[in-house]
Amino acid sequence: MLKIEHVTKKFGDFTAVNDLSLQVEKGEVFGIVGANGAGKTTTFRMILGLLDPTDGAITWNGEKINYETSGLIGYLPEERGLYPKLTVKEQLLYFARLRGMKKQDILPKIDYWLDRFHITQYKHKKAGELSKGNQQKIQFIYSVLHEPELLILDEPFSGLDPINVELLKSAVAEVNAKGTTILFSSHRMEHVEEMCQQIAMFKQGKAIEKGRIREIKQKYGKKVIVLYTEEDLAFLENRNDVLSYEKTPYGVRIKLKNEQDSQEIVKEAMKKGFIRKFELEEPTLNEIFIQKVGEVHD
Amino acid sequence: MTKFWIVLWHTYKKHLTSKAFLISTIITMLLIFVMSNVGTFFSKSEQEDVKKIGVVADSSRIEGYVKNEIKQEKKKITIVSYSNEEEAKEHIKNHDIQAYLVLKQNKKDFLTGTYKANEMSQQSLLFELEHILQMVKQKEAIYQLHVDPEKFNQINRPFVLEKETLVKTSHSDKQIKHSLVIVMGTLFLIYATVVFYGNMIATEVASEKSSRVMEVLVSSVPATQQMFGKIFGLALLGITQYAFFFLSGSYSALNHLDTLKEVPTSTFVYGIVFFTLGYFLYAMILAMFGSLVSRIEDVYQIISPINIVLIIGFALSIAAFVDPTSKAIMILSYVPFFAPMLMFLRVSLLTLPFWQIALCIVILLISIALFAYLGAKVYRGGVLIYGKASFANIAKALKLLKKDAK
Repeated sequence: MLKIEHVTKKFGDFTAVNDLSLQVEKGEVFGIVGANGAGKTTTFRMILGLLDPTDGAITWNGEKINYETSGLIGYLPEERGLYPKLTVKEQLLYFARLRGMKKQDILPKIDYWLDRFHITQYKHKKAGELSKGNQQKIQFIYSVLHEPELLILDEPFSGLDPINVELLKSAVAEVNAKGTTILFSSHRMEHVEEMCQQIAMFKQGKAIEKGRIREIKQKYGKKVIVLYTEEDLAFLENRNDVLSYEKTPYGVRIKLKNEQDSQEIVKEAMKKGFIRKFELEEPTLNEIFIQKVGEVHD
Repeated sequence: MTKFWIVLWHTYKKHLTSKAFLISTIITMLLIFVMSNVGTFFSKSEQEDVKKIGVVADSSRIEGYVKNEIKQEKKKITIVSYSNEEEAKEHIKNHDIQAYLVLKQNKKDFLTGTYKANEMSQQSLLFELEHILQMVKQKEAIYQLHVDPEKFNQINRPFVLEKETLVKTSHSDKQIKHSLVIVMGTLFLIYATVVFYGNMIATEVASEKSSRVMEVLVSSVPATQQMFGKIFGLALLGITQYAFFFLSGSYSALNHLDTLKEVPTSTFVYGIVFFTLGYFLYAMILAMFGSLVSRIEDVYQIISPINIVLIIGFALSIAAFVDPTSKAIMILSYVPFFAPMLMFLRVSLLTLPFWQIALCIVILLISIALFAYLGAKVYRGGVLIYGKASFANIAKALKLLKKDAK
């Protein structure tokens, strides 16, 4: 279990992480979302022991993570990197040996993962000659090659095409199924929503929202009502309880201040004319994120 | 500690198998071989062809003198005698001889002579002949004036200035003369190695940062082990490279063994000591600087002050050759940045009390330890900083690691 207790990190006057407490259960996939500069990478660096927290404590299974335990941790940094002049095999060997593995244990694993990503033909190619997507696969491989207990993925899907995103997602799921606890950050809410049981939303170094996705959504309430109709319902836009009104190809999409007001809206709309279908929509994580963080991000 | 060895070996192997290393090593080896044997090649090629020179003399005595001198001086010249010039000219046409000398007795000058040939291009031959004829003239003079050859030799014997050093352990004049080349060579080697390998260390660190490999490395290997692994890995590479250089120079060294024997052993020992200390001092600093930049293009900018310090040190040591006893040189030889070169020079050319050498070595060791400590600290933070290269990053890097006041 990863435990982050009241962790604060200050760089001079700047507070990068502010009184952060998180708990990631063993075997879980935990997502961290937040805008750029929200403190995600600093948090990861503190978990890895690269930076010392100004205050608070971080433990993995009750112990502080340091270089003695670095073999238990896998890390895919946001800024990716490979040695451009070394072959794929050479660098995977080097990285895995630095994580404490023996050469004879590494080689079959390299073969397995290269095969898993359909890139066996690049084993003896120099990394600088590979496409960006293939480089990213190699980088993912070196973060999981030593079968870590805890895997930290900083923006693992950024810059990948949809096919490779799927490939990588299934690999993450496979690693997780073998018992690895995964902590990952992303700007893409749909990835987080799909893969994580728990999330934390970061804003200016604080976790402004955290917990199970389902619970967060429930707390937020069903505040979106979708009406399938051809009628002009523009008059609803001026109501006090309507936050936003949006015309769609099939009807309208209305955001409300409160879930309870939805019934009133439906009644008003039905007075106007024929409503084929209506539904109350769960908010997407994206919507919650935008409302909470207050700015639009990719 | 095992990770230190993995980094060391990785760094060593990566560079050892790189094309740049192979090519530069081979070219330098060739260069060393050619340069160190240049003298031997030239003298060999000259020895090969024996020159045939005709002599038309008006007395067989003079002809005998000439043949005798050539024999004594071991010149590769064969003398062919002719009774008249026509005969000699005929043989020049047939290329039997290259040139001929017309030698005549003379009361005033004892001997006059003319060199006749189709072309006057063989300067070294003319020089040799002039030298021989000078001796022949002396013999002819002795003959004509009836001087006792013994007495003439006594008069002619060069003056010898005896030299004696008063301090017992001092290097003899002969030793210093033979050491000069070795000292100069070692100084240049220290300078070149520190520039070349020091820059390599800085570039190595910066390239790992620019390719962002650093993020992964730093999460699995402590920064200190990583930094020292690199420094020692490249040191090992240097040793390998110099072993090859030594090999290519050994042929020439064998030819000059007598000269090398004259160089005191201490010069070699101090050479190695100051070479090593110099390398590690600058390696620590340059690794630290390398960790401050995130793009390879910025490396040269940030390490240029160090390169300037090195050039100053090298220039000072060249200047110190003229007067190694100067006060300024003595003081500067205790400054860590200059000490490896200047103290080595002083130790080889002067007789220093041992405490001075020891003090200098201690100063260097302390500086290395200090820079290693500071370097490791800055390195740890520096590798996490991206952005513009600047010395302000040193403060930033140190701040990054501090547990800030609440």
